[in-house]
Amino acid sequence: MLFRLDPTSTIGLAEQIAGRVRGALASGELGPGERLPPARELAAGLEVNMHTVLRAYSALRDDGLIELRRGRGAQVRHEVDVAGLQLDEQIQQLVRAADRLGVDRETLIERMRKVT
Amino acid sequence: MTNLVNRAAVAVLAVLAPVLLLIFRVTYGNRVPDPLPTHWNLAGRVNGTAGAGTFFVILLVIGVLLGVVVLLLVRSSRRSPTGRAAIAALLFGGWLCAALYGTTVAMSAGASSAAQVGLSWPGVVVIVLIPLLAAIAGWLLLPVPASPAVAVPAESALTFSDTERVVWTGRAESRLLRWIAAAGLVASGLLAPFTVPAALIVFVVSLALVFVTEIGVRVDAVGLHTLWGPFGWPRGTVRLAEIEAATALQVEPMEWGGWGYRITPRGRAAVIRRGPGILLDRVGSPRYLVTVDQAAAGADVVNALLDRARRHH
Repeated sequence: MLFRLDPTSTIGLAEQIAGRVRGALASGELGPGERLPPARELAAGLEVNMHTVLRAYSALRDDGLIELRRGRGAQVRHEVDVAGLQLDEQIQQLVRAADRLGVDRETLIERMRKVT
Repeated sequence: MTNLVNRAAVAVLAVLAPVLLLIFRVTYGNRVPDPLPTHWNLAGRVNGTAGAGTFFVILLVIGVLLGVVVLLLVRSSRRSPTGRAAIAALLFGGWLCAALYGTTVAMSAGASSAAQVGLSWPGVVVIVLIPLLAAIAGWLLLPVPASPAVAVPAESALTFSDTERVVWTGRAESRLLRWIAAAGLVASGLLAPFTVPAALIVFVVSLALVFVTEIGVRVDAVGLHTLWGPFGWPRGTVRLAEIEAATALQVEPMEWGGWGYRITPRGRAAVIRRGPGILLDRVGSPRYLVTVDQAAAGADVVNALLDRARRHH
């Protein structure tokens, strides 16, 4: 599995790591039950503090996407909601498009309700 | 000579050793003293013997086993080239058994007791030379293993910017080796109350095997790291600066000398299962191979990192 971090981006490194995992889950690149790279290895390769990786993994665990187990490392949960993740990605794109067009959240929701 | 004829010749060589052993038994069996002389001190006097029957049976069994293994390897080599060195070594072993038995009974023929048999130096030469010749013959007869076709790496769509931090992780595991290691550990526990030395040996070997049950691979700006076993230790690194190019290929363990960390004329290899692996061409060093899933993706990342490094020069 490939991780690419952009240190110059405004998005924090931990957030980039978590975002990469979410993207992989949504696209099916990562499946239920699969193991994520050990935090120590990921940190060494990306030249970041191990706590940065652990922050990312903790966020993913709090979102119910992965499990952190002593000795087994980080593992994608078997009950991970891939469809939910895919929907979240679509929603993100929609919200960003609305922002660009100057449409506020309430109006966006209204228009969504009107969709048949 | 065709490949088939060569392999048949090697098979004949493998079978011939135990057959010769039998012929010697039949020819000299009842003309030799029992026990047979098996060791001479520097003064030329016999100081070690073995029961004639036991001597024959043990050498025959070993010779037959080695011969059978050679036959199996020669048969499997139809699908993929099998280590020439392995077959040559096994032939050496089989013929050593035949040579040991043959020269011992030939030297002892006619003597009424073991002590009467002097060490015959031609016999020693035969024991050293014949197995060596058999091994060399087997080596020469077998086809030279072809290097795996290294496809020119396809133009990768992957490009890394100068500021990007890149890491690729991969794994390979062997369920079979895991079961064998587990079985060995259990067996050593069961053996312990009966025979401590054997239990200890089985325990140590099984423990060592644990380190070969899985492999982790990490590719980053430093290079390609190989992490052995469930603990990620021991580990080795091939630095990016040493790497010329990376390719993915299908690894056949027997082409690389077996399982584990192999040092072969073809290069160094970390092999724990049959299947995809990353092959690295190195500057001024032997090639390095590691079995890992998604090898094509990993090789791609290595090449993209190389491209990025070269753009700076």
